[in-house]
Amino acid sequence: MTTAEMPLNIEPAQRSRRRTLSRIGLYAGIVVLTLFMIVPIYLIAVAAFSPRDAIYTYPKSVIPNQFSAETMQFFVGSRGVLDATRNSVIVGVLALLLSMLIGAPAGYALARFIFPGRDSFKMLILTTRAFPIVILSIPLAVNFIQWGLYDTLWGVALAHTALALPVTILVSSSIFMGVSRELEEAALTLGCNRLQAFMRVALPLALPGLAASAIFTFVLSWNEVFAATILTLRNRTLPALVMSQLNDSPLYFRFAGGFFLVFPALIFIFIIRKYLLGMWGQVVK
Amino acid sequence: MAEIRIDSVRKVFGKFTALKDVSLTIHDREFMVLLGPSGCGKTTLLRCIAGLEYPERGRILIGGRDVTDEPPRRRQIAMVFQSYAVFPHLTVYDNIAFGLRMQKTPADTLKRRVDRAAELMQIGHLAERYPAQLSGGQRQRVAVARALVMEPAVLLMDEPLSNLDALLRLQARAELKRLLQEVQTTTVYVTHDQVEAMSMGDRIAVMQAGEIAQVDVPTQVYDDPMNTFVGGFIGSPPMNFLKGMVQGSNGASAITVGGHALNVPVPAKLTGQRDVLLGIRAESIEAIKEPQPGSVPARVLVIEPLGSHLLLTVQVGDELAKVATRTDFPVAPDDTVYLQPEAGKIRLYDAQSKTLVTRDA
Repeated sequence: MTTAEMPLNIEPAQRSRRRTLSRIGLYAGIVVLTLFMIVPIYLIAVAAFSPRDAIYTYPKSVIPNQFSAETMQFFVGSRGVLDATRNSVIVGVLALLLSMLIGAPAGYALARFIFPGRDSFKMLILTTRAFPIVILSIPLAVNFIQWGLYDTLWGVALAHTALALPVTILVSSSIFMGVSRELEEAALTLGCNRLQAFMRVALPLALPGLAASAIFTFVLSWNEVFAATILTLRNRTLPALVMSQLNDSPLYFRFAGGFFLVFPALIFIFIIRKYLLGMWGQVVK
Repeated sequence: MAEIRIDSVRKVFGKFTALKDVSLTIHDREFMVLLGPSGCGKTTLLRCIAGLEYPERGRILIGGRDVTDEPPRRRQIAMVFQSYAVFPHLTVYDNIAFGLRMQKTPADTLKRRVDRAAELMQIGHLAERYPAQLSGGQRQRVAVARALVMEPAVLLMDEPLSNLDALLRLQARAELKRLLQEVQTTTVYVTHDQVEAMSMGDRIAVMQAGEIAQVDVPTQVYDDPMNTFVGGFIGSPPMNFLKGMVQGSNGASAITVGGHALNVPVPAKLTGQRDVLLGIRAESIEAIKEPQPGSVPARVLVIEPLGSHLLLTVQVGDELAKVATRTDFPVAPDDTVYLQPEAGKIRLYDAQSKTLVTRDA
């Protein structure tokens, strides 16, 4: 009896020890990853809100001992920064609107209709991301000069729309797939035509997810440097401006600029975090 | 209030023919049940009537008007979906009012009709709630109210009770039947539940593999299945089908099962020798302990007490049959009992085509 029971008694203990170990491993991994993301952002924030000379002091203290808005004031007050911020917002909103106007209907079509080449179309959308913007931007600049789009906000917005579209299309198709087809059919039997059924039922239900996807586009545009730098000269967006002045500016200016760029993006990501999880973790209801 | 005429409708999905030239007339104010196993085409037929699918061939007339190419909104239909399809972003009130708003109904009429429909379905007190705050049964009521408020010429229902739990379903079934008797709309009701079909329908159309196998009043479908599929699908337990033979010799013919002649008259139209299937319901067979002329011996395999009766699974020759007996019938597994079919309850089916040849006399 006892010999038969012994392994039974030991096994659960072993198993629970193994489980505890793997738990510790999991949490350690989470902590390392989180630190990897958060430490640079934290250091940038500390530097941005320290007095200028504090940046050059070593060793650095982890907790800022002096708070000063002086550096940020200097950055915001620099020539071109406010204009560039305005440009960035305009370009972001334009890219957001364009990508929604094109991407949402495309996503809807992918979700609802079976048409020849649907799957290859999906693949094709993804392959557009395979061409690096570095290679695309020179011919793009040439064309934009010919079309009179060079150095305009519309030009940058178009480039950003092209960058955001694959994600917008695929994400919105997954959102519309989560809206039951029967709901639209019910609307059809209750007097709607196809467009009305879409506007009154599918769109309102997809709206939270679509809004999240729109904000995603805005953040992408807000952070995009390369296309913005190549395609503009005077009408710089904020990242392009910071980028072009990076080499000639003092360290504290770079930190302030970095923080100024990171912060809105962070806030937006926090807002849409819930929807992004909902989108990829489970079906949107 | 309208008659529905379905005239050789064919619907093909890719290589699969869901409806094979189906024709069916549903009378004005009739409650027609489309019954069949999954994949038999019953929902497809309903969706063709609704205008959610367009047939490749054939015509559909509602109230004498050809609606084959009309979209759903021009067919004067309302539909209750299997998932209810209640709009999650609208309150109960707005859900019910949705169709009337699309018709631009004046505000006072709209409110009166919505309130009345909600009252009728006993969901008036839930008007301001959102569907997520409702139980399954309540959502089902919203779906029915939303359809009824349209006062449609034709009411289409796609398994409206299948998502309710068993007890609620029983209650909802009786309620729905009473309600539809009141509103007296032509109703087409899809279900795979034969009890639901029997209890609710004025007539039942039994469908099998994209075709209608039989259309008749429930008792007729139960008593006289047109083929072995219908007999096997309707009734619990399904109809027994035993291999038998009709043997005629010098004008006196007899039906035999496993070599035992039955004590039933042979219909005049059956002559000569031919293989048949004898269809008989479990409750139309009497089990007795002692052999009698015309009885067939069988070995008892399983005894299931079901409260109102005992259900025996017996072996007749190399075939299985179900027999219902009184609860006090003394029987044990492996006993031999003798089966005595009730006169007038045997149906004869052709052994090859499985279709009804004739009833016994």
